[in-house]
Amino acid sequence: MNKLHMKGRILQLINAQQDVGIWDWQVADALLAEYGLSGAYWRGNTRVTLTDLFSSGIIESVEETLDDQAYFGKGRVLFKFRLNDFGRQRMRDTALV
Amino acid sequence: MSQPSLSQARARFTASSIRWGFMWAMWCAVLWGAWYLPGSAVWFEAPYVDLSYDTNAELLLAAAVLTTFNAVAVLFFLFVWNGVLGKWGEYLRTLRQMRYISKWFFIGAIFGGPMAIFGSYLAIGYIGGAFAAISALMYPIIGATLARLWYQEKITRRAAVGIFIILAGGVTVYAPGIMAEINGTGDAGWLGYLGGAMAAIGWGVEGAIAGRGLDVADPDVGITVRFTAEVLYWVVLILPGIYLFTDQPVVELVTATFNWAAIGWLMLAGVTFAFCYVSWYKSFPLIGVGRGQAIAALYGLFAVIFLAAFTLKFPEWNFLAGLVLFVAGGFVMFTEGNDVLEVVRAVSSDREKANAAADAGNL
Repeated sequence: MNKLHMKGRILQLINAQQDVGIWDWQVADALLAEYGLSGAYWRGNTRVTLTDLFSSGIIESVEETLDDQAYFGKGRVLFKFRLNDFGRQRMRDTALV
Repeated sequence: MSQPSLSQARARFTASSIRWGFMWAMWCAVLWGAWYLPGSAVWFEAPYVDLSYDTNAELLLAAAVLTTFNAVAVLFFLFVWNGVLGKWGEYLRTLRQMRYISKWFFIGAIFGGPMAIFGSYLAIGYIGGAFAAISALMYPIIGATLARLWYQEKITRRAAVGIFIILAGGVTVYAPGIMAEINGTGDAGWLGYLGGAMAAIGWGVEGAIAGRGLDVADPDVGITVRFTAEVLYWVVLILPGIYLFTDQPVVELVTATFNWAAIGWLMLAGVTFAFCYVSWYKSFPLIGVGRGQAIAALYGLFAVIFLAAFTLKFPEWNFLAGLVLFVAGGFVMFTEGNDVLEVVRAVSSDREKANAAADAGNL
């Protein structure tokens, strides 16, 4: 079990989609499946990490929609994220790509 | 799905992430201020109250042993915290990334631990808790400047004004005391003043380094790695070094510290500092290192209040004037527009242009 730390893996999942971007709930689903986790707590935890990355200017929003399915919670925003240049630089600095 | 409700939800998202950032920083300030109580009280317990402090070496040793116990207690509570959050696995995964991630927290720990916390214990020991708290208040200038130069964190004019007002508050609070010291007895407390300066520089640099490490690491886990490093420095390097190369009674002092009163205060110091540091690290990604540090610098205010309540020595007029400036400066920063704060760094301009065009298309 030599897994990457989660924030690094999240960056890889986003980077894999290049400029198209990936929805935050897709990131959470993929991450939780890989780490054998489930439930609202870990989904929320992933969303907090994505918010950190967004506020820090490492990922940027491509598209947004309302969380009608209540994946993270009704009335919240779902984001489609992609890496920006700064984020890709950080991934190279950290040997994630 | 109506557009207005999406934009409302979007505005709520931005407002809430910024509010969380400020709330974490504020929590940090309260707990940080509270830390000076047990951090000062432990000096009045055995074995520290019985030391003669005839030489500087004796006081330096006392501060070193206290900082070691402080670090171990903080790490204990951080492990409990990560256990509650279910993040022990993430801690091991992050720690293993020594070359790319943990190294930042290990470097940060040098500035935060043997420099800032040790410096604070020195300042408390030589001069007193209120002085130690207030002398470190300059640290956001260092942290904000480094974060700006290193990774282009946005420091708007309003943020700069807020930082300046908070610092003016710091000067108001401590200048009269320092002037009296300089005009009065002379060199009695110079190591205490050095300790205060070490705290200011150490915490400023640590925050900037933490901001870099947190780009790719979880805050709860990152702070635990940082204290793992500090415990290693003290327990494996510094205390054994003192034992091997000096004739100071380090083993005796460590052994004597294991009494209920001293350990009790040190556990209280550990729990307040552990969660102050958790909050500090959580605020950085959300509102930036400069703002997180400036709001957390309100700890100076809380420390003065807590120490006054505990010792029944009431603050003087200049403390109250400083208090007003602290609150005003914090308010100036807090009322910054959400659009500025949504992304705390000025990242690559061509991307931003493309993004602006895309946003315009979405609206």
